[in-house]
Amino acid sequence: MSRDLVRIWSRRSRAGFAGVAAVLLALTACGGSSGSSGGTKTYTIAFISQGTSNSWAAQLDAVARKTAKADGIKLVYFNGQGDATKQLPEIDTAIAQKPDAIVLVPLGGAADTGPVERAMGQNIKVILCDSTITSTNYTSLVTPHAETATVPLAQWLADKMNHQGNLLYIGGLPGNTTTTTYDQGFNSVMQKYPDIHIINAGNANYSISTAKQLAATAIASGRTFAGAWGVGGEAVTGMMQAYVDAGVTSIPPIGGNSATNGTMRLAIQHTIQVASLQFPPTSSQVCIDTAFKAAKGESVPKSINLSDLPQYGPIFPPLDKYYKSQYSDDMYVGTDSVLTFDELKAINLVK
Amino acid sequence: MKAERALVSAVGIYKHYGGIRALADVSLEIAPAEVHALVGENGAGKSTLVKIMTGAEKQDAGQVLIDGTEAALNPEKARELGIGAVYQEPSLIPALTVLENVFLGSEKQVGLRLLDHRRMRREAAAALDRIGARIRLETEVASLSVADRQLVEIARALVLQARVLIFDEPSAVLSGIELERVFRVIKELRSHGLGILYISHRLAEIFELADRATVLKDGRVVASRPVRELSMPDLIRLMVGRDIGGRPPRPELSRAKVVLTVENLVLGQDREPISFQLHAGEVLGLAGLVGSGRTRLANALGGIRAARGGVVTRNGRPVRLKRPSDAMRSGIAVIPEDRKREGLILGHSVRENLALPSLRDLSAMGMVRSRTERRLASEAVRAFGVRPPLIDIASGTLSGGNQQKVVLGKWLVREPAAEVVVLDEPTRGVDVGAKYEIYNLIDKLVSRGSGVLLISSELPEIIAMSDRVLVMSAGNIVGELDRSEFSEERILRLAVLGREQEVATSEGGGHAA
Amino acid sequence: MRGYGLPVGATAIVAAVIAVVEPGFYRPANLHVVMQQYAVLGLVTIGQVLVLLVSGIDLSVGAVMNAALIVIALMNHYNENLLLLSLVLCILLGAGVGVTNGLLVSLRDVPPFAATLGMTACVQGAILVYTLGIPAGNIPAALRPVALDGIGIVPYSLLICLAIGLIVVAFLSRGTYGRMIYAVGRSPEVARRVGISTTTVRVSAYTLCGIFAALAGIILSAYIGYVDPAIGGTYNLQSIAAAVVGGVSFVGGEGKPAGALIGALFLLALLNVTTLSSLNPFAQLIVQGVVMLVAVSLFHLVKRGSFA
Repeated sequence: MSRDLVRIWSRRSRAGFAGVAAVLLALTACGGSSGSSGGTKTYTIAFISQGTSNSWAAQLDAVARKTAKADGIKLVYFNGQGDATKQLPEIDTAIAQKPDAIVLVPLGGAADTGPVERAMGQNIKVILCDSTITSTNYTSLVTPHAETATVPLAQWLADKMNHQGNLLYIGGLPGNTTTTTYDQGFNSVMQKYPDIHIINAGNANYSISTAKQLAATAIASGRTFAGAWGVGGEAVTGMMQAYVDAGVTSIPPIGGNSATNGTMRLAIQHTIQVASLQFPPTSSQVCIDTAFKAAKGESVPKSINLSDLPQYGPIFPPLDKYYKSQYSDDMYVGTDSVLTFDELKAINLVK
Repeated sequence: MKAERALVSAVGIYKHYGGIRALADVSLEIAPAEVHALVGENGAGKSTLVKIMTGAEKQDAGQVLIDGTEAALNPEKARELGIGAVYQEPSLIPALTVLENVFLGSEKQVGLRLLDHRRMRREAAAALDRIGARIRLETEVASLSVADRQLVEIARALVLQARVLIFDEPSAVLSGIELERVFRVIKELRSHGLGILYISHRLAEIFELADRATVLKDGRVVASRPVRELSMPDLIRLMVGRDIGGRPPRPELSRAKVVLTVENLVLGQDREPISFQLHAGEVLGLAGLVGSGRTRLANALGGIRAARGGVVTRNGRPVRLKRPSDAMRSGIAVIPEDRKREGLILGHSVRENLALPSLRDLSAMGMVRSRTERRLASEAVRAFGVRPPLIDIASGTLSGGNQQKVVLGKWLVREPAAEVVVLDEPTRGVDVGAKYEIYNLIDKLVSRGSGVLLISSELPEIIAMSDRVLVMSAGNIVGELDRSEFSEERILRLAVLGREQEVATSEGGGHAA
Repeated sequence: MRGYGLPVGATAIVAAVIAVVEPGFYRPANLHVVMQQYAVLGLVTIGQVLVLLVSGIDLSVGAVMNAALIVIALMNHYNENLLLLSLVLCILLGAGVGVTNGLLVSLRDVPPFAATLGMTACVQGAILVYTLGIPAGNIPAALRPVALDGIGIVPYSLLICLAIGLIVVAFLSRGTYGRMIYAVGRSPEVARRVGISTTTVRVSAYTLCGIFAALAGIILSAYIGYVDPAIGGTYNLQSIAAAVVGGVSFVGGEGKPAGALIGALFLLALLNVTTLSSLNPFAQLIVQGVVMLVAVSLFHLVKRGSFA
């Protein structure tokens, strides 16, 4: 259970604030040549991952490795083992190696603040990837802005519902910052439509299995729903599966976040109208590139909003162009924009 | 001396547990400067009365008066009003120090938060001093002997200004010297005007200690008299309601058939191998001090803890005794010393306990044949005189003596009957009536042809029951006595001094090492 | 039988309360959903009860369920004819985890909590090493009728669960095996002295628990129909909660499997009713918590009362 919690905590980035879009800067560094600062100095960057505890983290790691190779960086990998308490000592070990920069995918939130400040104190650049800490003493924060990104999806759903009827809602993880920001985006749209009745079926805690069980119950209650909303791709997938298994012929439009290849497959297979966010685990590319620049002494923005990147945009039906039948359900839509077929195959993402 | 007003009195107390009557119209007074003995068989209602007087249980009817005023008691209230209790198994927390235990729940504070250590130390030291206990306040209770723990518990009551102290069978767990210390303390407290309620099985103690004795039987008071007006036979008669009488001498034994041969059994490192034989129809007493290896021998014979070497032969055939099932198959039954931990499952019904060793015989296709089981249990309850004779009640609700009968029953109803029965302290903690029933049972066992190995610390019991006695000391058999050689002194000397020394002393002039 | 009056009576009261508070519960479609979900929780709970009765606790049932899903998904990924073999493998895996748990607890004296949590780490670790964190494959369509189809609104999975439940209830209340379980749970020393192998009994309890968890994993996979590697996530605690609500205690040897099965029903009905209520999820959690606490304390009050 705690594993789930941690996974979700970390994977859903805690949205940063007032980000200055410096995305283009970051992108130009992609694939840039190594050692550009004249000499042949090879920069060392410590990548403190969540650890290969779930498919999201595994894809994130693969992208990080690839980016480092392209940049000509020496990437030292530290395995967070999917657990905040195991990740903490890894941060200190990383500091002791005196790298030029650290890319941290924080699992601990507040707990990570101390080690991060220690690193900053030793002049090591720290790039926070996907999730923040409680202080602002870091070099750069790379996150998507979930609140604003959610708005067009919710709007799409409201429009599809003709602004009326029951809406089946399945929540995320209570108290989780990402859940809160998603909800803010969703609510900012829905409060405009008093004729939409939100029927709350409970929190799925980002579990497909839980989402499906909650949705099955809600569907069996005899209510008809004009639309459905799930916090997280797992909730969307679970709802689709519940509708299909209940034998409902006219499945309402479903909105939610984090599109995986499996979400696309189910939607297409059962002709369900689904709107979703692309949320590929490619943030590590931006993070490593940013770290590389910081290590070289170039200035980097304090905050980078991933939501402004095209591969993080919303997706609406038709979904055919997003579904890649050669890849497995676990691939996040957009991962194939940074990893090749062979690279995806190496991490089990090819069917 | 009865002129003084009672410190605590129970008046017309009634108490039922479910449908079972525990106390009926029980009245009792504890006067200042008096040791009041409460006696009665197990199950007579002594513990229930203590629980009511210390506020641990509520009576159904009747009153508890303190200084003549009715008091609705709960444990804290009872402590506040000056009623302290010292239980057989002291209710101290082993991981805390003596000082911490003495003040547990009544810590003295300085200001709001801090404990007044100086005051607590002073008061605890004074209390321990008063009862002549030399125990350091910093000692962890876990490292204290049972007697010292009881003294700490007394000190705890004194710190709380107790005026009445209730002792619940302290002697059951204390050795001679330790017991004397506790007795001295009790007499000392009496001389300071405290009222003492003293509960014991050992009648001799009552004549040594008590001023007055109240006898409970079946939840009723059958007598309450000054001790000097009572004799030992009176007391026993009042308790059990019948004459026990002496036991007839055991008939001469033919010793024709050997049921068990033990050869060179090694019980542990540096232990001499043990050899002996047990005959059909024989009670072989096994005497020795606690820790002399008697229970180790019983466990080896029962396959509970295998011996390190040697041969055990049953009916001419060597048997393997690696695990309990080996012994069961070989017709050896070992009735353990600690009935609550090793003998009975207290949460099980009497029926389930009785059936446990016979489970295989009672089952068909993995299911227990309920009717056969009930028949077996009912027969056992009748044959062993378990009271109440109900097979579906939880075993833990029976008195100690009746629990022991169930333990005996569960091993002895097995078919075929065990030819070798090892009884390890079968009458410990058992009331007089049950004791005699157990003796009768031993008679029955030998008359049906079993051999009985009787382990006991009570020498009169060994002498009365046995045909022959083996004495163990320090893990070795140091002597074998025939009936003509039996005497308490002889057995005790062997048990305490061991073989060579005994020979030496009997040759005159030698002394114990 | 005596002793069933309480759970049966309590269930009747709860059923009546539900009829008033949330009549939608009794819609056939909803009952169908409850039955589908009960089949899974019921199976895990039966296993958990066996382990609780021998003074243990099994925190690896969730991991076994995850592993079952992975085995099915992976084997189906490579060859769709391997379904039956994959199911057999799942059961063997569950049994293997159970045997290891049992041996650790009874021979090596590892506290059950630590042993089974350790096994969870091992099983999850093995899954990660094998899948690199990314499971592949999918749930074969041929498996899904187990959970989705049935007789009327009664899914096959529930029939499997109830059949196993009845067998376990029968053997625990009337069988020799039950006597051994309770004896070992209440007093291993007494049990040993009457020739019962405490090791065998303990290992058997953990093994059955592992097997039932694997079965539950298979059924849940069939029900969910999607490769969710964290499928068993909530079942460690849910199965323990169901058992405790049903009167099984942590001290060993106390409680009945039938009570636990009713406890599981109570728990699911509670979850279902709060979901149907469409209350705010925080309110749902509070209602669930309060009802659970009230249920457990009432049970223990009534139980203590009837003991005197």
